[in-house]
Amino acid sequence: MLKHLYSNPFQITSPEDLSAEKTVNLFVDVFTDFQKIIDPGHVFLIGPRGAGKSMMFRYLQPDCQCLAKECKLADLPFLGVYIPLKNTNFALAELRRLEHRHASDILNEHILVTHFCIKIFETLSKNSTYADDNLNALSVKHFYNDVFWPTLIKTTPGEMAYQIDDLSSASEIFAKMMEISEILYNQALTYAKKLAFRQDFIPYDGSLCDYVTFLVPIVSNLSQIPGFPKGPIYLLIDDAHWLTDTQARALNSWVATRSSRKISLKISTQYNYKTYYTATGATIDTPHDYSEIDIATIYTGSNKSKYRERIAAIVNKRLSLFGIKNITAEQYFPEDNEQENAISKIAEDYKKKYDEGNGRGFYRSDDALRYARPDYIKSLAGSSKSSSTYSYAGFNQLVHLSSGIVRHFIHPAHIMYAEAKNQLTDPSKKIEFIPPSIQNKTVREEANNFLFSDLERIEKEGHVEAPPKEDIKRLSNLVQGLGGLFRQILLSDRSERKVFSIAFSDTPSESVEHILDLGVQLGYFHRSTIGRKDSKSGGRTRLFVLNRRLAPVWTLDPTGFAAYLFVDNNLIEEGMKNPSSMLRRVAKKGLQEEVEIVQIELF
Amino acid sequence: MKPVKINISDIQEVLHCTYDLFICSSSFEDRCLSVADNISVEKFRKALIVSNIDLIEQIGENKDTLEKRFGNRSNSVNISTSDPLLTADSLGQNLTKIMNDGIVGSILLDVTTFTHESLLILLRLLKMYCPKSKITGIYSNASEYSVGDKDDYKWLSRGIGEVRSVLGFPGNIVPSRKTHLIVIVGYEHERAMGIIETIEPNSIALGYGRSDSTTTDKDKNANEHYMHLVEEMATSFSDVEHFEIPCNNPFKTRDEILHQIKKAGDVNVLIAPMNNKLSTIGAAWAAFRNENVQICYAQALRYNYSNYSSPGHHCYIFDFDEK
Repeated sequence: MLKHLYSNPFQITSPEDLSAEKTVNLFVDVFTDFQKIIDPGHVFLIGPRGAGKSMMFRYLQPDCQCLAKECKLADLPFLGVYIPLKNTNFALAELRRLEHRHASDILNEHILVTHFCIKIFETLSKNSTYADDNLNALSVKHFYNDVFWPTLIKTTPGEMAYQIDDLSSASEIFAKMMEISEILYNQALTYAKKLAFRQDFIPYDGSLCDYVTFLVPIVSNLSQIPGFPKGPIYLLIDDAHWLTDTQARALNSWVATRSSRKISLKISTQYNYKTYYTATGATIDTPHDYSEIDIATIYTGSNKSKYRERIAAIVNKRLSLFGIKNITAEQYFPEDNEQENAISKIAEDYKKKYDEGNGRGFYRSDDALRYARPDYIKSLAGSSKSSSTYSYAGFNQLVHLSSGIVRHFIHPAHIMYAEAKNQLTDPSKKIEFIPPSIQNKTVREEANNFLFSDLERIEKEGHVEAPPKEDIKRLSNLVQGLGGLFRQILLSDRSERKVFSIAFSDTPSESVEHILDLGVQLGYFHRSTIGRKDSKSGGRTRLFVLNRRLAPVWTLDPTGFAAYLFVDNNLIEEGMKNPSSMLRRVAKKGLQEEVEIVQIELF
Repeated sequence: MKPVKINISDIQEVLHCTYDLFICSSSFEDRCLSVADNISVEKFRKALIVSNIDLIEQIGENKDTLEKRFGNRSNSVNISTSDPLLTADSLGQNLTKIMNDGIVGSILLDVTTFTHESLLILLRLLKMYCPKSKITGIYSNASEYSVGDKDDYKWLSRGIGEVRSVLGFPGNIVPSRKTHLIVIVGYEHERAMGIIETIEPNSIALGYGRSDSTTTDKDKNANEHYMHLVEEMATSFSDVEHFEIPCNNPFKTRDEILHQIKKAGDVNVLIAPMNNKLSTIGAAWAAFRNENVQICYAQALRYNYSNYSSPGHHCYIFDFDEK
């Protein structure tokens, strides 16, 4: 049946729209890498678009959990309720009128709280997991009368009457609570809309709901309903970067209440979360108030090998559900045989040298892994000047190119499949594997689009006086400068030639940090940490890893272990201003003079 | 009703009546002068010259030209691409002042070089403050966009900043409903992609200009830009709704959008108008008829200041029968 729904095994579907059955079928369990998400406690789950945050949250919802664990709702260790924040009302232009006036903090918190209530009761009323065979309508009525209603009347001025006597099912009663929440939500939105073209003060006479006195009692008492899990409730808050500064401060204040024993806030966001300040001006800090997980860092650090396994499992599941069975990810994305044979031959030569006592590495295979592919790329760049003929085909290379972000594997795979399908003379035939030429062409185009469409073309003709454009120009320079530098190192005779990261041997200036942070936000770098070069007493320093999606732009080797550069701030400052001059100077003076290369990873 | 297409040099002859108010926007595009250069200032009692303070360096020369041309009839109105409240307050105050100074029975509105957002805010204000005024709209075409660039390299803007609702078009967005995004696609397929990727709606409908309705003289490759967008969207949306709009007719665009809204059913509908100003007016009119619809806008990080467009030889004139 899935085959009819998807025309392409690598179709990206919003997790929100996936049924529990499909989610469980497609999901590859990653929680051993992200244990804190399933443990009680507040968590910020940070990662770029497409890193799999929403899919994790979808899987943690009770319908999926009951299916995966083959248990009843009451037996689940926690209750996960999905709260998407991807709603343009949070960026409603009219809400700007509230800023610095009109009790902005209070009204924005009310909007957040009532939005949460709507999503919670919507889930409870519509999801079959909470259907009447699991929950007793009478118990839900008790919840309404003993918890919801008394909490509601404390926040709402004037008379209210919402009868539920005639409602006979749990879902109807939950739907009524959703309807009431919508009324409360609309009171504030309607008020904000009235402010659109007015600068004078209009009194607000609607209800005001806050986290501590409204949401906490309602949510924490849900577990008292017979049939509900007795463990904590996890509010799976997705896409928190949609919140305005004021709304983010309200949410941070909730994190600061440390109510995680009963309610844990699992907050996903991209890198542009507005602030970590609370409404009172304090900050929330990790690990005291919350735990932080950066998906990109996890999968570009020591867990790289696990990432490869995850992607292989995702590919296998998708192909299998599409009716393409008994094929591994490696077989579906085959390497360029001719190229790999040539690289294997170079690798064998290195092993032979090791056996003769002329190896540099500790183990027999070290030099082969470290130098064979760079040597091959170097041979292409030599007299034949045919670097562009290097092929990025092969599952292994594609995994490395996706740089720890699942969607950066799935998206090109979708394009490859469509292209392969286009080339078929018989469109009813299945694609049994993706030809290496299509793989290589796709990832090269994707790399160019990533750099040239999104950065260089913005920077081209950039208006240098305007800070954002100037920043983009400097980021573009830096990316191009570092890519060129990594290329120089790859083609050198140094003992470490695969480089993708930089760390500072001195203190980076504010402007360098700013541009690197912008690069992280836009996905051109990942952030990590390493031990300090000059520290005898330990301590760590920040490491910036170039996104390997860009490797084809400079024909870099994306595979295997990589080293990092210790650079000083001046070099990066120069790279941001004039990458060509930086590269010329480094080439003239020699790499040894400018940078120190240290090996960090080997797998 | 269909807008009338005339030669730009015939404006003075075709618009034979006088107007209480002329409204136009100065711009880095020389097209902002097309209408004003071809009509006598004697036809107007007052003129509002709208200027974007964030782009003052780029628009300054044309702003001065317009203000000089209208002399003591002109009032300068400062607006901002980054601050819609400033735009609304400034436009609102100037309209109120003029209304208070005397009856404004007729308005000629040159929509050509307003930003989509400021035009939408202005349309809402005119509906509020000038409900009885007879408004005539005028739009002068471009002979070419991204002037001199090869088809594959044509661009109008790069990057998107904040995606926000347009002030005055908040709609009625209900959190428990799914989101349907209607994008009226123009040249800027990257910007359209940006807005779709940011909003990540549950479903999308892409409206593109019918080839026989193009307002630009050299506009043969608009469909290619559109196809780029469709290809990019295919990874995430297996079922994209497509529809055509007549770029030269806001009335029919309005009706087509209303048809699409009806088809979408019980969902939150967002509209991102990204084609020419005539189609943006159509989107505003659709939102006036269905106040549940929200209009969104994605601010561009930069515009193609130097080569955005070259002035065309025609303009479109139409009466607002919907305010």
